[in-house]
Amino acid sequence: MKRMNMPLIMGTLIIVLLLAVILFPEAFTSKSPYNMQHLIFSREGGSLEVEVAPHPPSAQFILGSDDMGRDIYSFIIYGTGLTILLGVLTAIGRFLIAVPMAISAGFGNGTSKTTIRQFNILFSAIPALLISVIILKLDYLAGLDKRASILAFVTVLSLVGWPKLGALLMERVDFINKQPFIRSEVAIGKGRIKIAVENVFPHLAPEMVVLFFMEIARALSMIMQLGIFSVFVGFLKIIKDTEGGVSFYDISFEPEWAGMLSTAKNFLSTAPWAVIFPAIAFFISVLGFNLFGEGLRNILQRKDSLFIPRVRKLLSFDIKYIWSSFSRKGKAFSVIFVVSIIFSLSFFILAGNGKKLDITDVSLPEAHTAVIGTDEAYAAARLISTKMEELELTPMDSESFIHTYTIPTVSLILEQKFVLGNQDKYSAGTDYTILDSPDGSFSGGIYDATRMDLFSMEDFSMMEDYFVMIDKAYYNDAAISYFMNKIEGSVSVRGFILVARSGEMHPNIYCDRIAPTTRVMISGETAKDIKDMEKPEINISISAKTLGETGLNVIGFCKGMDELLNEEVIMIGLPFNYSDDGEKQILGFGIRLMEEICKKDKNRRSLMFVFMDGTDYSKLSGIHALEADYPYSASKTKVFINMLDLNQAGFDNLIFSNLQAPFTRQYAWSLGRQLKSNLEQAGIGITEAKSIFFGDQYYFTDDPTYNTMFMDRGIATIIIAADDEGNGKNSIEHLGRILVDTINDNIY
Amino acid sequence: MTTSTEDNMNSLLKISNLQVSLGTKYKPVKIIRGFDLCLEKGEIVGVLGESGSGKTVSSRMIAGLFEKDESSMDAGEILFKGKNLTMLSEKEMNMIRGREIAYVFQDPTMSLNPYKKVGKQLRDFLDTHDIEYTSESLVNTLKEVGINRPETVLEMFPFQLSGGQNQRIMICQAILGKPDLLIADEPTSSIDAMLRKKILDLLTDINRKYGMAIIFITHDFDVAKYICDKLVIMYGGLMIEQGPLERILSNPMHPYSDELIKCASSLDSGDSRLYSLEGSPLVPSQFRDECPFYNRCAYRIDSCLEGIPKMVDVTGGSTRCPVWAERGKSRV
Ligand SMILES: Nc1ncnc2c1ncn2[C@@H]1O[C@H](COP(=O)(O)OP(=O)(O)O)[C@@H](O)[C@H]1O
Ligand SMILES: [Mg+2]
Repeated sequence: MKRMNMPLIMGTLIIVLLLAVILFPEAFTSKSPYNMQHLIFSREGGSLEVEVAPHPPSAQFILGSDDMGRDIYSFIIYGTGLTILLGVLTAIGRFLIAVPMAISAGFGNGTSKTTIRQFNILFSAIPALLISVIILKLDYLAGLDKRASILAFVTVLSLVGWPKLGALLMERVDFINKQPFIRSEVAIGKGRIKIAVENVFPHLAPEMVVLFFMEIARALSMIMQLGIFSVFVGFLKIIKDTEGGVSFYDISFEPEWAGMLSTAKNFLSTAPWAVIFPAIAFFISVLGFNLFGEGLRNILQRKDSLFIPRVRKLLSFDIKYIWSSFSRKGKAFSVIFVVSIIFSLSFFILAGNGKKLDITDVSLPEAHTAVIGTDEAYAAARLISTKMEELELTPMDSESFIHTYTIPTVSLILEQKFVLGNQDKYSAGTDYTILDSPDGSFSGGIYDATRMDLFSMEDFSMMEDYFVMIDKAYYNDAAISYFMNKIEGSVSVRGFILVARSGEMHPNIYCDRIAPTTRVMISGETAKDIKDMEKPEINISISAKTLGETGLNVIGFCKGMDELLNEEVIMIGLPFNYSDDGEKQILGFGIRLMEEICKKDKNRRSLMFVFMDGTDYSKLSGIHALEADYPYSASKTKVFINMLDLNQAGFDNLIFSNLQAPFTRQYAWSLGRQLKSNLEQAGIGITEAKSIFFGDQYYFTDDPTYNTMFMDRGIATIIIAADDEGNGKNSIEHLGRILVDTINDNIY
Repeated sequence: MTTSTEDNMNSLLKISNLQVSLGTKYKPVKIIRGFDLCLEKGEIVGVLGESGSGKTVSSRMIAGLFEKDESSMDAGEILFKGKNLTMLSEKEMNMIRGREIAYVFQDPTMSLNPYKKVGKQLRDFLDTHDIEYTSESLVNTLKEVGINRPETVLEMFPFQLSGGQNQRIMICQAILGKPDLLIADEPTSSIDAMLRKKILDLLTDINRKYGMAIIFITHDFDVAKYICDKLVIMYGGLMIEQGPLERILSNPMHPYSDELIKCASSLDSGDSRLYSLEGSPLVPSQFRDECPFYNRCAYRIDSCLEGIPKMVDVTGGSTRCPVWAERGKSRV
């Protein structure tokens, strides 16, 4: 009976589990690690309970949350990749230094021997950990972007960690050299180098394989310790102005375990789970790699293992080639290699400062309008999907770029009129919005019920034959529809005039045709006009057509070129409906933008272009369908550039907001900042989107669709919308150029 | 002494006054204090001595098997076919090692690379020296050294074979190069007693067939008696007597040789009371400028403490005991 190799089995299990987590994090958690939920509301005994992060483990947060309300469990899951990668890279780095040193030392090179010894002495006097902390805390290193930061991290950890490995390997080489059979190789007249190649490498190989896994474990535990000292990759100092002055935060952006330890250690007494679970993750991985190494040692060091003969074969086959190319040729090659890397890097940096983005060379549909639910909208969607095919974008599922969704029954207003007294100056969308009405022309007097307490009223007879004016500010929507039903049930009225709450007015393109009488929403100014009139009379006429029940989102995926980054996606949301020629240009703009960004194969990250239907009416907007059935991994969607409200080809100011791209979303955050500064530099004025700060995040009040992706999917969002005012001194082409350049600039 | 210089020219190997220190540069320990050897073509010379007396160190020095930084040769020269081996470069030595001087180690199993198949081991050797061979000639040589089923053995790893078989493989490798000199360092000590005689016979056969000279190192007088023509006896890093086997057996010229012979013959005669030497052998830390055997010698006199005695020529060899040399002379 064979004895089971328990360490190997356990180690393999753990490593396989880690790999599974790294490759398919979605399978382990449906939550985005970036999602923050600072406050939890619950009703208990009739009163509202508010719980502030860090939340303890519960059904909602399996392992609890950190102080920013991020789910520890999904953070650990998504952090596995980067953490293990760091461990592996560090181990590789250490080997790259230690192996040549150890071998040359083992063959009597005094300098290497002394170097290994002295470094070991040095690092036993001053702990390697301390040196790493000091170096990696340097401001210069702390401010690097992700890749450079990983590189710096790995380099430092390799430099301080290799001597121990070097000494181990040197001992091993010594030991191999002292083996009696090496002496007999000398005795048959073989040269030293030949003996080294044939024996030392292959005999060292199993030990190296074993040590490699142990080294990963060692590196991981060092990374863990560094985390406690607030040193980790993806770390950036956040400077925040507070009343007391300027304060610094060490914040972990990227899901990565050491960073979790760093931020959470301050909450050890109040939120121990935020420290314990990442520490356990470290512990399990360290154990896994150690056990795996141990298990391998058990196999590889058995005499009948075929590992060494195989390595030898491999080596003796290749070595001649390597030897010959090593001389002048090898050097020449490496010089060319380095030069071409520098060259292509500088190319990257210099490229991308082109001309404006011209939208006149896009052939647009003939129709003058294309609103949701019409054949024209379908034609526009087809045009976009043809373009996507030309640009070799890929659809997200099956064969079609076009995703359909069901919309509620709604009608498109064909003609409308709103006359107050004898004034016909009111414009739809800003002064009035017809919400619901049968076709026809309706006129009558206005009964002002804005100062009445409709709750306590029982008799509505004085409203007979009038349009009833109600102020929405005093009641919620449910209450208002309750009143309207009640009034209509008891007396016959002409209709209802609802005074909008602040910011509630929206473009007047669609309406319902359900209610028996007209419901129109008016702005505060219009209401004031009415109140100023002695005997207000109103005439409303409307004709509308009921729309089809299908909305169309056109989604195309443009794969990034960088193997390491093309999992990450930048989502660009654009509108494609239009109701005049100005809006039609936005469709042209969207297509050109897509062309410009996708045609050059220089995007590192992948891009997802979503042309959404129904964007001019939040109720119909394709964003809800997209959110409900999101076609990509939400955690890998690094940012959503929401331009759904971009409906003017010329503007003075843009509404812009990167509030939902907070500093915890590195990429979105820095893209947002860069975009903002590029816009400002280009002389485009910026108006912040209206928002309120609630709990820990910003909610936009202008448009509920602004919040959808961030609040419901956890995708960082940058809002770019048209500001209604202005005479259009800036053109949309200008914005396009800035977008293309900013996205192409490979910022972190 | 013209005859002696002529000897030098004709001898296969002539070592005179070899002195070796081992250990690091900073802390060398003198191990060999005086070793001489003269070997003609086709001769078998035995190097005999207790363990620790310096047999292995001196024989490895001949083949240059020490690393430069672990050994230093303090005096003497090693003339092989007229060439001073100590003056050769590493590269030139590599041409000689294996090809002209073959070395068979004490522990065959440890000395064969555990991860190389036998066939690979042998072919590697042949390739190193560009020796032409066919698989047939390889198989034949294996048969010659007494390996049964050579085809199978070629595909086996050393750990799958017995010590005796591995020793035959080593010997096979040694004779594949058809060297002029074979150094065998206690080739039989780690093998079962049953197989010892077979290996000794094999070496004698090879010696006859190829006219290959052999330096045979052993601590066992019986083994030496069985195979050698000449003997060199070592004690405390010094050669203390050398001469033809017969003469030393019949008329040892050093008290230590005398003791060795007595030990051996008491074993042979099956005496119930084994004769054994009092005291313990000399280790390098105890080396002093005096006769190395002084402490254990029954014939010691005060003058034995006055420096290390010089080698004195006697009839049929030389000895490091001036007292016995004198007595022998007077006896003759
Ligand atoms: N590398 C070494 N460094 C120091 N002393 C050594 C070394 N190798 C052998 N010696 C010492 O040299 C002496 C002679 O050793 P050796 O030649 O192996 O004896 P033997 O006659 O048994 O073959 C012994 O005392 C041994 O301890
Ligand atoms: Mg020995």
